[in-house]
Amino acid sequence: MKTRVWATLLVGLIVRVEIASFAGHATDLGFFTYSARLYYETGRFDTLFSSLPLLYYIQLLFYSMYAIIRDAGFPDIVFLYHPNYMLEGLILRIPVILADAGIFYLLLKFTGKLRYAAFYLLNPFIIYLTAAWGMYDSLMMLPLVTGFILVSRNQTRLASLAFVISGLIKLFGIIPFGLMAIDNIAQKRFKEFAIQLGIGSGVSLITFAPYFQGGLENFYVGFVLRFLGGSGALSRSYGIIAAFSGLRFTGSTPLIWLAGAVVISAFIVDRRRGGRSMLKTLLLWSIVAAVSIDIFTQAEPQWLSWVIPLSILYAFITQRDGLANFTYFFGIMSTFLSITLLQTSTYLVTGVGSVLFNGLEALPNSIILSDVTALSMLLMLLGYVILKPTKFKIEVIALTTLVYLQAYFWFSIMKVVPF
Amino acid sequence: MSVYHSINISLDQSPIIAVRLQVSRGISYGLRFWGVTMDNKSFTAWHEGSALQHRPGLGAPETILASLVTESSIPNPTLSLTGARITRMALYVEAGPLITGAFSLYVSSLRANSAQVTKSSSNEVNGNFTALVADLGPTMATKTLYQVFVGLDIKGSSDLSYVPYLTVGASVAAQGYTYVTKIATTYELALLSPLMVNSSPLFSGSVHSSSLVVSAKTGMINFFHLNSVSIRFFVKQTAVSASVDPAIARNLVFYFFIFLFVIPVAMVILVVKVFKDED
Repeated sequence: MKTRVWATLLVGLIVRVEIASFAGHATDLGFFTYSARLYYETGRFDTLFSSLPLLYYIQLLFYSMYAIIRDAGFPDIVFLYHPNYMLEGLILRIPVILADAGIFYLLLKFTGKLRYAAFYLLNPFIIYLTAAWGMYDSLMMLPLVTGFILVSRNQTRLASLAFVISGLIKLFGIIPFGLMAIDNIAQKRFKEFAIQLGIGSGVSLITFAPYFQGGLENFYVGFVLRFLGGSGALSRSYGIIAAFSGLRFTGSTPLIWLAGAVVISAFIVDRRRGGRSMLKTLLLWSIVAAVSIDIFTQAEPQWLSWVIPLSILYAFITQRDGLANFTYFFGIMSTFLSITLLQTSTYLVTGVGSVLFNGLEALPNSIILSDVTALSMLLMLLGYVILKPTKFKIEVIALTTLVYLQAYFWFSIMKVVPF
Repeated sequence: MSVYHSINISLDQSPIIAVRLQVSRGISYGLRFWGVTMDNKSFTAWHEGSALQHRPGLGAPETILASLVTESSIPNPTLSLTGARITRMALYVEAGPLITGAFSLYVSSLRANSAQVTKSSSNEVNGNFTALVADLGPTMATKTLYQVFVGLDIKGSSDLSYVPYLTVGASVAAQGYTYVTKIATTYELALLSPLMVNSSPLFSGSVHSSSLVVSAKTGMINFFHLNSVSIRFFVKQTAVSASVDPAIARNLVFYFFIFLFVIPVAMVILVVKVFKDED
């Protein structure tokens, strides 16, 4: 067993390092590279960093290695049209690669199944986001998974801390934290609620403190409103609601509040009925919340990855083997959709987008095509999570292919779109 | 198809042209201008990339505003416009390949008015404005321009939406998203990027300086306070358009797919099928 675990881990790490050494999302890695260089080349802390601050601290920590290497005279090179140097880009992704390895370890330890851990580590979508794109969703998911495992051990205070850390990397981590807080109030555990709130506010305050030097107004508008969907910019265009309505929202669609109310109410009712453990209930409604965010907000494609480790955990504790298998297919399909319909196959590799596979890339209404197929998979995932346990069947692949082909015909060939 | 019309509008009075029209859906349309300088030298006063070009027909009445000084300055950054006049304009409609049917362009009014310019030496203004131009000093090199963050306080009519631009000389160097006012605060931290440039403002600053232009798309600006401008430069290769040999790109993509799909899926098959007993 040990040899096979090491072999799986080694394969997972090798493919990541190999891809990360040459590929990358030019825009996103450009943001990270700029902020890291700003600090190490001028000593200025970037209070206008494009993501939440914890990510910046982690990147600065790892980037220090690169700064030392460069100071020692290492001549790094740029690959094609990428904004960063090759080793520089790799080092910026090391913390995320380590987070993937950490999640692999946690899933293996918790489930005892190498197969389940491999479904995460060797999932093409996770590899694509971490190594090829340079996205940091895995960094958020490591404390998130840790939090759920701590809940299973009844270590709720530590779990709260883990969820807050997760939420300080990407806000999704706040959802299980919030559901736990609601449960504490509903069960009249006010002391626990106060402790949880104290942990949340304390850690958040420490994390954000350096950003206050950029001015409270900049902090309020640049972080609080932007990340809570209250920005004034009519910016995003991904997401099925935006794609079909033609509307551009200043944050999330108003429907997300309805979805949020449904998730919270269902969670409370589920807890009151008392048939399920806290872990099961929390996982179930966190998965439903992730799916709701993907459907009802101006979702980014990388957000689809959140359901993968959560579904693997849920599959294990509810003996839903079909769900675990489905997550792997979900990952392969999400990778295919993102590469062909949202980026083009060459973008991450060369730094510029161009079409190599004419029938698959740069299609008319490609966002709608991607959204419809992703929606069908998210609904299937909900089916696997909520309905009675079912095996993963080859028909699921056929069904998804049919949805894709139908959407391809109506939206990309016939161009039947409302806007 | 184009329709030409002779006009005679002096640029000395900063004219704003307002056209009320209705164009069928499914086709595009645009306005183009031509003029002569004081010494009778002709010039074109339109450019590709302007908001006046290739506009999709809405099938509903709309009003288009254009500053003739801006439209003349952008394609002719070194031309002296003192004493110059706009002498000719064209309205055109265009359809993409395989688009057939009956389409119409109906112009109900065409007017030119002088722009009312209010100058201020403060970074705060009150009144009714369509656009605000803040002079940021001499022109700058924009080759490595990366991002511009602008902190501003803004109030306006309930339907106010606006777009911030950084103009350097007569060209747009960076553009922001379309912003709307918020209930929570009047403050906005706007992000502008060279990669987002897809239009030009109604008014631009002096051709000899860099300017921040906040241009109302809908509604009017009643209050504006400029808090901060942070201009960021980043030495990197420009990846807006570049060419990679397709054969090299194809080989790289296949190499990428081997590590992304082939090896991980093969390993999972091994784990699921061959190592199944170990679970």
